[in-house]
Amino acid sequence: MTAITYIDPARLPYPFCPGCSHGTVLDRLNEAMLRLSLDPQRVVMVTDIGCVGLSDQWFVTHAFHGLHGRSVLYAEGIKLAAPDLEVIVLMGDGAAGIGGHHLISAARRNIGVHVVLFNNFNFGMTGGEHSVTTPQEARTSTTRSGQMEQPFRIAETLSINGAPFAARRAAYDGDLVDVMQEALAFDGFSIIEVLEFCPSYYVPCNQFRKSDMEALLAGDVFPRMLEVRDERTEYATYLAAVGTDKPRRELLHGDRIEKRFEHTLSDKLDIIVAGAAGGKVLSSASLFARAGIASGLFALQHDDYPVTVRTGHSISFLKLSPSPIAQMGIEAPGILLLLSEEGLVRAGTFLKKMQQNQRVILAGDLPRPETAAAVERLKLDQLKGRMPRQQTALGVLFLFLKKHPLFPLEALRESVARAQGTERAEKLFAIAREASDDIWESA
Amino acid sequence: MAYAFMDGAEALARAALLAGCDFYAGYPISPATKIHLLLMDALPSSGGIAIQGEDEIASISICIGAAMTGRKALTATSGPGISLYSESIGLAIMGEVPLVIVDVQRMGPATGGATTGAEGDVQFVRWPTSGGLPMIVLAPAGLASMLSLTVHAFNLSETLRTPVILLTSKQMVLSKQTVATDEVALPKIRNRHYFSDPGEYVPYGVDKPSDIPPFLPMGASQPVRFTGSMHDARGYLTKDPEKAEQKLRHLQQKITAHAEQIESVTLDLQKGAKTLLLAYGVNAPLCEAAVQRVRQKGKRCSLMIIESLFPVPEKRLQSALQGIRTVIVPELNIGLYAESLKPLLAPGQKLIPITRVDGEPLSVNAILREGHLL
Repeated sequence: MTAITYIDPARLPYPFCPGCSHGTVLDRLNEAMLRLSLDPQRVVMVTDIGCVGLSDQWFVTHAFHGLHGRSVLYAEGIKLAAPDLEVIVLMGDGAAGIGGHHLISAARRNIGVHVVLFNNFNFGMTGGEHSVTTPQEARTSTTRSGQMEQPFRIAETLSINGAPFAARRAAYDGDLVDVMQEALAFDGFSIIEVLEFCPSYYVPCNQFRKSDMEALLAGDVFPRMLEVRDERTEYATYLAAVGTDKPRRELLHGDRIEKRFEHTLSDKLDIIVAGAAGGKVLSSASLFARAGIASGLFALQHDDYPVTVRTGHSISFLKLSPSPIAQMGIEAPGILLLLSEEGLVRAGTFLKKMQQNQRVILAGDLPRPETAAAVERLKLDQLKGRMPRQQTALGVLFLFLKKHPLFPLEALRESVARAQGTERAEKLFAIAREASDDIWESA
Repeated sequence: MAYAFMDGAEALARAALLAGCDFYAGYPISPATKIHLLLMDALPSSGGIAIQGEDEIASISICIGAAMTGRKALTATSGPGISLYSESIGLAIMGEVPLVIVDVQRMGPATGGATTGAEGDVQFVRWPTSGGLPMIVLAPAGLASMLSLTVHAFNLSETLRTPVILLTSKQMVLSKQTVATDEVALPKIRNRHYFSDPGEYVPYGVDKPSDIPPFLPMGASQPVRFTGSMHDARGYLTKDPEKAEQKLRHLQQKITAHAEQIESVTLDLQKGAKTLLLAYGVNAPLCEAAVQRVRQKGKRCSLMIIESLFPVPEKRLQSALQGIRTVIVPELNIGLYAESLKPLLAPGQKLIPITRVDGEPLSVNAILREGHLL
């Protein structure tokens, strides 16, 4: 469907103050849309707050009127979700202040929305306060002795930050409709900053005439410009094309553990595995838990690690139980597996709380900590060359399971095989099965 | 029987996909990041879209735009982010946008403890924006509950055209647990009602205040007008007191009139019990265990688990409170939900809040001890 006009004749005239440029710019936009024969049902006009925010109500297209400075975001959401829609943003210089970061981000992404930025150098709706684009030395109701801040150069800023189409014109420029036509037809993000007269505030406060506007346009800060660099892929098109189905499939169906083994636990058991970052502690504990589940146990795991990566401690708190687990925290674990100095330091608080019927297992030559619990040492140097450092956590869990058969060693082998392949599973399984009892010593 | 060993983030993301979620925008923040990563990975396929916003305001605003084209959108954040969502939640309420908002609570206020658990946002999400209108807040009470309640959140947001907050916490989202996925009964998936009459589309037109306006997407064959400003049925700005009142009463009543549809509680009442243990969120499984222990000792105790925190399920609460002398409410905050229960208590009914705010979970023993249950 094509239109004779995109402006609803029943709603005219526009609501703006006499002499305001907004109506002129909307008329030019209407002309540009007519030249392109846009289907009004495929066009969304997006606005936010300020006088120009009223504009969408004069269009026969779809309309989206949102919060101050956020219009470009709604436009991005619409365009990403429905890339075949023409999405046009009408916003003011006030919105460019509160939502400047959003404009820059939209430009950086190159989402194919088209922004017309109505810049009349002040807040016309609330009483002529200064905005981010108020020229230096200009007087407004909040800069009585002249604006000190340097104005935000929107078109240049967006251009520098990736906008492939950035233009500046005055509202009265004869070629404004040509530039608008080009912008609307552009396959990517476009911005046209239109300099305007605010007859109610900025014009009378500064005796701002057309000659003053021309002086601004002839200066360095607000020059007429048209920068077009059509070499980037439009983002919505790009995003619609990327991705595979694999992660989605895995999330929906990936994790099915069947009960194939029997456990020997009569009561719940809390295990803490405490090692160093990079030692695969968390994933190993998780594989151990899965083996428990495959043996009919319930499991709960939460982890603790610093915000930094590959440094410091890495601890898994694991709860196994024949019945569902309510309690999350662990006060004193039945088993504390200490794999490294980092783990020893972080698990110190538990060592003090542990009792004689609980057990600390030291991997390798860690110093014996002070504790009431029974302490055993696993002499890992016996396995020198057979167990890579990266697999120590998993290997220790295999050895632990052989000594304390909470469930069959085969359950852990299967769990590891499923996640990391049969080769590693068989190797660690063999190490554990062949290890003699003298790999353990009481410490 | 098959089991899964998954954390709350995986459960939530899985349920969102099952519910038909096909749009996600978010910003990285602990402890919600795992949900962010899962959906950023899983959605850009099968027609789904996922994007990382430049901040939280951008993320929720992008979702709102997408939702108005017909997408089922979700965004996830934590305390500092839900604070930034505030203005956009208002827009979603006013514009009647189906949207699921996940708040993974962490210790607050401000930056608080990024990786420390807490449940301090309970009253904030009840009135999360200016204007004073009711909000739907659902709090999963375990992993199975996370699966079903996520679908419920989408269903409510769709059928009532409103944002729904799914309130959870670090402990639940980042702890892996055993769940018998086959046994979890997910609610039937419901979608928004599309306008299909031959007549003219009136975007916010309703016959009576509690009705839900039918939906047409941006791009439909009739013009769709969306606005966050006070508006008439056609979506044009208005200051007419009568129309403004109609709109605000509608926004109120479309929630309150559907209380039964929203409500999700589990009652385990014991005849003759004088004590009611009332739980939500991460403490719900602890309270189940505590009640079991109490009953094993031959004592009587009733249990109520509330998943639909707001609107407060008043009718169910009133029936649960019949004959009760003491109500015990364990919370990982200063006693926030207990505040919402006070108006419902009869004279003589005693409220015992059990609160913990050091970032650590409560224990069954602490609940039994502080609630004087044994």
